[in-house]
Amino acid sequence: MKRLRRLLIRLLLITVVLVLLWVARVPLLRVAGRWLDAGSPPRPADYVMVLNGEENSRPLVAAALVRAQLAPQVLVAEVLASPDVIDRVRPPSHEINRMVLEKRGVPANRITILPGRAGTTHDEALALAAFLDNHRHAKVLVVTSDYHTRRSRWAFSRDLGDHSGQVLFVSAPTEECDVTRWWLDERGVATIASEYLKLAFYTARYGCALPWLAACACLAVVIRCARNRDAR
Amino acid sequence: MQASSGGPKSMKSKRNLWAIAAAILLAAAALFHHALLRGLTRPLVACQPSGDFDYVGMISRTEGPDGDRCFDAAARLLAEDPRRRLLVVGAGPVRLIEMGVLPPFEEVVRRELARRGVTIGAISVVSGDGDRYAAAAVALAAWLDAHRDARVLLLCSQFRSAHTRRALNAAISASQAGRARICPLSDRRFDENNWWKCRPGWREVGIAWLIRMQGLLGDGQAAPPLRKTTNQYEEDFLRSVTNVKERTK
Repeated sequence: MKRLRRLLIRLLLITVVLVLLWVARVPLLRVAGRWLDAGSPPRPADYVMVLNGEENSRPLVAAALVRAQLAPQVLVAEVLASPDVIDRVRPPSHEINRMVLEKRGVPANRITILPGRAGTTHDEALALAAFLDNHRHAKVLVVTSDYHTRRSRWAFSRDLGDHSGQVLFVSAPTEECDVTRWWLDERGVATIASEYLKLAFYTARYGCALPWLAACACLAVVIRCARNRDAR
Repeated sequence: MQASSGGPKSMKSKRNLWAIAAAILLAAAALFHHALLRGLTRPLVACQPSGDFDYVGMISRTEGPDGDRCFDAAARLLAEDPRRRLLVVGAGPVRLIEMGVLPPFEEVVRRELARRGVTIGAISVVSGDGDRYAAAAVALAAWLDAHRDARVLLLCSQFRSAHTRRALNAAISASQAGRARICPLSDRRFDENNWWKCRPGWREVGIAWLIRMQGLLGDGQAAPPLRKTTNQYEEDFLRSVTNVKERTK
C-alpha cells in the first residue's frame, strides 16, 4: 500500500511537470531560441573573421563592419570541398564569402584566406588559432549567424587558449527563421533544434569529460540513496 | 525471522535480473545494430519509382539543389525520353544571385546538363520558397492546378523524401497526388546502410528526424521571415549595433 502510494505520488509529480512544461512551452521555446545568441556589440578591432556558411548574411555584416571602420581587414577560413564543390556546381563557401565582400566594397588586398580546409566550426577555430600565433596582439571580431554564436564562442574559447581574450563574437541576424517562432517552421526546427544537438555533440566530443563524469557519479549516488531510503 | 519482500536478498536478486536484462539488451543492440540503424532511416524515405511522367522536378534551395548528384539523375531521366521537360521549384540564394555572385539556378541547370550531354529547351520555373518543403509543395500544387495534364517526378534528398511526400500530400488533393511522385537521391558519402559511419550522415539523419517531428511542435505553416534587400540588411544591422552602443553608454 505504502509502495503504491509512493508510486502514485511520483507519477503525479511527473505529470505535473510535463503539464507545466507543455503550458509554458511557448515562452520556453522562445527563450531557447534566444539563448543561442551569445553575440556582443562590435568594438574596434584589427580583423573581422567571417565564419563559413549562410553567405546570404554573414559576409554582409563583415563588410558593414569594415565600412563602419571597426576593422580594416577580413579573415575567411578555407573550407573542405563539399560534393557540390567537387562537382563544380558551386564555388566553395570561402570563395563565395570573398566575392560577396568584394561586391560590398572590401578591397581584395584586405581579405586573407586562412589555410586549413575547415569542415567544422572547430576547424575554423584552429585556423584562427594558427593565425593568432603569428599575430599575438591582434583583436578579432568573429562574425557568424546569431544562433551559431553560442557554440562558436564555446569552441573558439576552448581552441584559442591564451588567445581567447582577443576575440569578440558579433551576431549576423539570421533570415532562415524567426527565432521567436522557430518551432512553427520546418526551417526553424532544422536550424535551432539541430544547433542544440550540435552544441551537445561539441560538449561531449571536444569538452572536458570531468564534469560529465562528476554529474554521472552524483546521479548514481542520488539514485542509490533514494533506493536505500525506499528499502528502509 | 522471516525475510520481508523488500529485504536485501530480494533486492540483490532483482538487481541481478536487471543486470541480465540490460546485458541481453546490449548484446542484442550490438548484434543487430546494423539493422536497427538502417531501420531508423526507414520512416524518412519515400520512394515512388515511376516511368510515367513528363516533367523532371528539381528543388532549388539557398545552399544548392536538393539531392546529391541531382544533375546526373536529371540528365539520365531527360535522356531516356526527349519529350520530358524540366521544372524548377524555388528561387535559390536570391541575394547572392542579385549581387551577381552566383548565377540564377536555371543557368546552372543548363550548364550542368550541357556538361552531361543534354540540351534542354524552356525550363518551367515555379517561384516559391525552396528552403521550406511545405511552401515548395504549395507552389507545386498551384502549378499542377494550372497544368492539368502534367505529371512530375520530383528529385529530392533521400532522408527528406518522406517529409517531401507528406508536404505534397498536404498540399495536393488525394485524387491529384499521383501526379507528383518522389525520386529520392542518396548522398555519395552515405546512405541508409552506412550513415552512422560519417559525420555528414549523422547530421543529415538528425536534421531529417527533427523536420519530421516538427509537426509535434507546430503546423509547419508559419510565415517565413521577410527577406530584406542587401542594403536594407546591412543598414538594419548597423542601426541595431548603434542602438546597442547608445544604450550601453
